[in-house]
Amino acid sequence: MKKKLLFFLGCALLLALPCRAAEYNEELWRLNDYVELLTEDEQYELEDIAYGAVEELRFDFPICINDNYGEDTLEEFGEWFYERNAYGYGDNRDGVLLIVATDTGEAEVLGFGPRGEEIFGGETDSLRALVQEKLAASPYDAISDYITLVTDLVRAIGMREIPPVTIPLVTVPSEPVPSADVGAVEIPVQTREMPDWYPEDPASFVDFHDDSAPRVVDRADIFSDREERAFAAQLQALRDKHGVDFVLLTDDYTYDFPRDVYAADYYIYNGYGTGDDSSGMILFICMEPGYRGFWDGGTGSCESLFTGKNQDRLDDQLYDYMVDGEYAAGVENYFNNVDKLFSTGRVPRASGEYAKLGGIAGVIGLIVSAISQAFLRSGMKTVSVARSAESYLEPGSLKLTHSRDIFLHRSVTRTRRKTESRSGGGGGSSGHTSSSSGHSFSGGGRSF
Amino acid sequence: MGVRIIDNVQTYKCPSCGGPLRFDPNAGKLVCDNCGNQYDAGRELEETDHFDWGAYKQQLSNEHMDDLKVYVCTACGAEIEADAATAATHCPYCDNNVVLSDKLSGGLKPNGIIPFRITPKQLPDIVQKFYKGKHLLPGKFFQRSKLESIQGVYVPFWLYDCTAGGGMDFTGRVERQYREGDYDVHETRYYRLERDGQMRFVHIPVDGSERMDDDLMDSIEPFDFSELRDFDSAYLAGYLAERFEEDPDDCLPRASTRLLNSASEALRATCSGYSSVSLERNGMQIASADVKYVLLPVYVLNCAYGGKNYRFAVNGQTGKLVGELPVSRGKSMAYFFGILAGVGAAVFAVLQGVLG
Repeated sequence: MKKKLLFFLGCALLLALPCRAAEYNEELWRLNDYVELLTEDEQYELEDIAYGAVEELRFDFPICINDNYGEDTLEEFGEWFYERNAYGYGDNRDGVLLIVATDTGEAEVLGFGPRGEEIFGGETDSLRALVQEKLAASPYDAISDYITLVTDLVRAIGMREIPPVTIPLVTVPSEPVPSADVGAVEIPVQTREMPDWYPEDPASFVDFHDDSAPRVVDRADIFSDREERAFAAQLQALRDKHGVDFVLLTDDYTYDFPRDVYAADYYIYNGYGTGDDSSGMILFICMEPGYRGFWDGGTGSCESLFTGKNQDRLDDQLYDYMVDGEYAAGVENYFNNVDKLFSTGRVPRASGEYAKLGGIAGVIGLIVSAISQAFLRSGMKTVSVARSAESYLEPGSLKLTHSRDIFLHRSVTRTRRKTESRSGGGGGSSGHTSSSSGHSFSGGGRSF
Repeated sequence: MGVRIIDNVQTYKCPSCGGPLRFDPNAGKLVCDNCGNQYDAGRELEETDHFDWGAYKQQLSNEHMDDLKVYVCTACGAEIEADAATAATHCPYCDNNVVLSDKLSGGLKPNGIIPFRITPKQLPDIVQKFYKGKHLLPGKFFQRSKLESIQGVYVPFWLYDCTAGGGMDFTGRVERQYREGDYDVHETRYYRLERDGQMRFVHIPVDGSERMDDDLMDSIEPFDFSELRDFDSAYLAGYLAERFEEDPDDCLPRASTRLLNSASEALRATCSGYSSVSLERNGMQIASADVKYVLLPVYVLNCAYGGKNYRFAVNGQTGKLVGELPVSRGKSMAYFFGILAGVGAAVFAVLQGVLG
C-alpha cells in the first residue's frame, strides 16, 4: 500500500513539475538588493523564503531595493520594473512588488494581476509603514517581516479559490538511536583488496627475473588460445632479437590502481625484464567495466623509447583497433611497430595518416585560397552605398540632455567543475610512472 | 515630347581673338587655347538670390523634365538639341563651349560650385595607380588614349544641414566570471541605459542626378567643402553640366538614413564600460533640415569588357577613383589553384616536419 502511494505521489509530482516550471520565471532573483543593504547571507536566506513562497502560494513576491530611481515615482518605476523583468505567476502574472528607496527611506507596495490587485490593490499603508519604520533599525527585519506579512495575507485571502492540496504523510519507521552509554564502539579497520601477485610488503621486495614466466597473460580472456600462442612466439622472437623483455597483459580488474601503476607493478613483481635494470616493456589492456583502456611503457634501457611522437603513434594506432574491438589485430600491429621502434628508433606512420595529412593540407590550402580570392576580388570593387554620415557630424555638436544608467537585475549561472575520478592512464596521457617497487617507466595510454 | 527653341545660351569667347574659352583647373581661370590669354572666373561663396527649394516648389508644376529643347549657339548660330537635364555642353558645329543659362539661372541658380582641380591629363596616372595591386585585372583593359579624352561633368548635388535629436534606450550587460568553491560562476548584470541628446550634421551630399548611380556618387566622397565657391557659369566652360532631376524631397531619405545611423552610433558610443550594449528603442528624429543646391566636379569613365559596361567615377576635386573592375577568369583561376597548390604543399611539408 505504501509503495503504491509513493508511486502515485511520484507520478503526480512528475506530471506537475513541467507545468509549474513554465508558470513563472525561475531564473529571476526575487530579492534584488542593488545597494547591498543586506548582507550576502541575509540576501540568500530571504531569497530562499521568497522563492519558496512563490512555489507554495503560486504568487510572485519580487523585491527591489535601490538608492535612486531617477525622475520616476516609485509606483512608475515599480510598474516598469515588474513588466520589464516579466515577474508574476501564471498567465495572470499575479504578484506583489515591494520597492524600497534607501535614499529617502520610502517604500511602495504594488499588487499585480487579478489576485494581486484584489489583495494589495487597496490600502497598503500599513505594509509600507511597517517597512519604512523598521528599515533604518534593521533592514533584515523590515524585509523579513514584510515577506511574512504578505505571504500570510496571500495565504489567508488569496488562496481561498485554490484549496490547498492535502498530501497524506508517509511515516517511515525510525532507526533505533544508540544511547550514549552503550560503551565504546570498535571501528573495524578496512583492509584494501590486493591482487594475488602483489607482495605483502613491497618495501622489502627484492628484484628477481623469472625467464620461465609466461610473456602473454590474458587474464581478461580477450584472445583465443591460438592468438595467445602466436603472440607468445612473437614476443619471444622480439626478446631474442632485441635482448630485452616484452610482455602482454590483459585484465578486467585493477584493484583501484591506475592502469599505468598496475602494469608497472605487474611487470616488476612478476620478475620480468632483463639485466640489473629489468629492461623491457609491457602492454597492458584493461577491460574493467567503466575503466577500459590500455597503457604501454618501457623501463630500464627501453624507457627512452616510449616517449614523444613514437609513443603517440604507438597509442594512436592501437587505439583505432581497440575501439573497434579488434584486439588481436591491434596487438599484432602494435608489436610490429614496437619491433620497428627498437630497430630504427621510429614508429612508422599508419597507412592512412599520409592521406589524412594530405587532406588537412588540402583543406587549409583551399581555405587560404578562397580567402585570398575573396580578398583579391573585394579589391576590384570600391563602390557601395553610403550608410553613415559620421564624417559630416559637426565637431562638438553632440549634446547629451539626459543620461541615466539604471541597474535592472542580475542573472547567475553556476556550473560544477569537472573533477578527475581516477588518475593515470586516461585518454591520451603520457609520461613517467613509478612502480611501487621504485622502478621508473615511461609510456602512455588511452581509454576506449 | 515637345520641342522649344530657346536663345538663352551663353558662350565663352576670347575677347582678344574670338577663340573658345575653357576653365583651366590648374590656373583657376578661363583660358584661351588660341592666344593663351587668361581671364578671372568666380568668387567666394556668398548668399545671394540662389536656389530656394520652397520657392521653386511653387513653380515646379510648370516644369517638364522630359522635354527636348533646342538652343541657338550664339557663336555660329547653329541649333543645338539638349534634354532638360543638360546645363552645359559643346556646340557640335563650332566646338564652342556653351552654357544653357536657363537651366542654371534665376530660381535655378545653384548655391555653390566646387571647380575642377583634376585635369583630364592627370586621369591616366590616377587610373594607373588605381590598377596597382589589382592582380585579377585583365591585361588589355587599360587604354590610356581613351582616358585622356574623357570629359568632366558637373553633377548636381544636394547638401543637407540637419539637426538630429531624440532619445534612445539600450540594454547594457556587464559579464563577470569567477570561481566559487566547486562551481564556475557566470554573472551577468543588466542595466537600462537612457540617452537623450541632439547633434548637428553639415553638408551631407546626395546627388540629384538620375543618370548617375547612387553608389558611385556616394563612393567618391569626401569633397572638401571649404573650396565651395559662389556659382559662376564661367566654371562650366569646357565641361558638361547637368541640372537636378531628383528634387530635395526625393533625396532626403538617403541623407536621413545615413544621418540617423550615425546619430544612433554617436549615442551608443556614450554607453561605455559595458561588456555589450543592445538597442531597445530608437527615438532619434530629424529636428530641422536645410538644403543647398551645388554642382560638384566628377569624371565618369565607361569601359566595355567581355560584353559588359564598367563605370568608374573620379572625384574631380580630390582625384579619388571608384568603380568596379572586371575580373579576368584566367588570372582568377591561376591565383586560386596557384595558392591552393603552394599553401597545400607548404602545409603538408610543415605537418610532416612537425609530426616527424
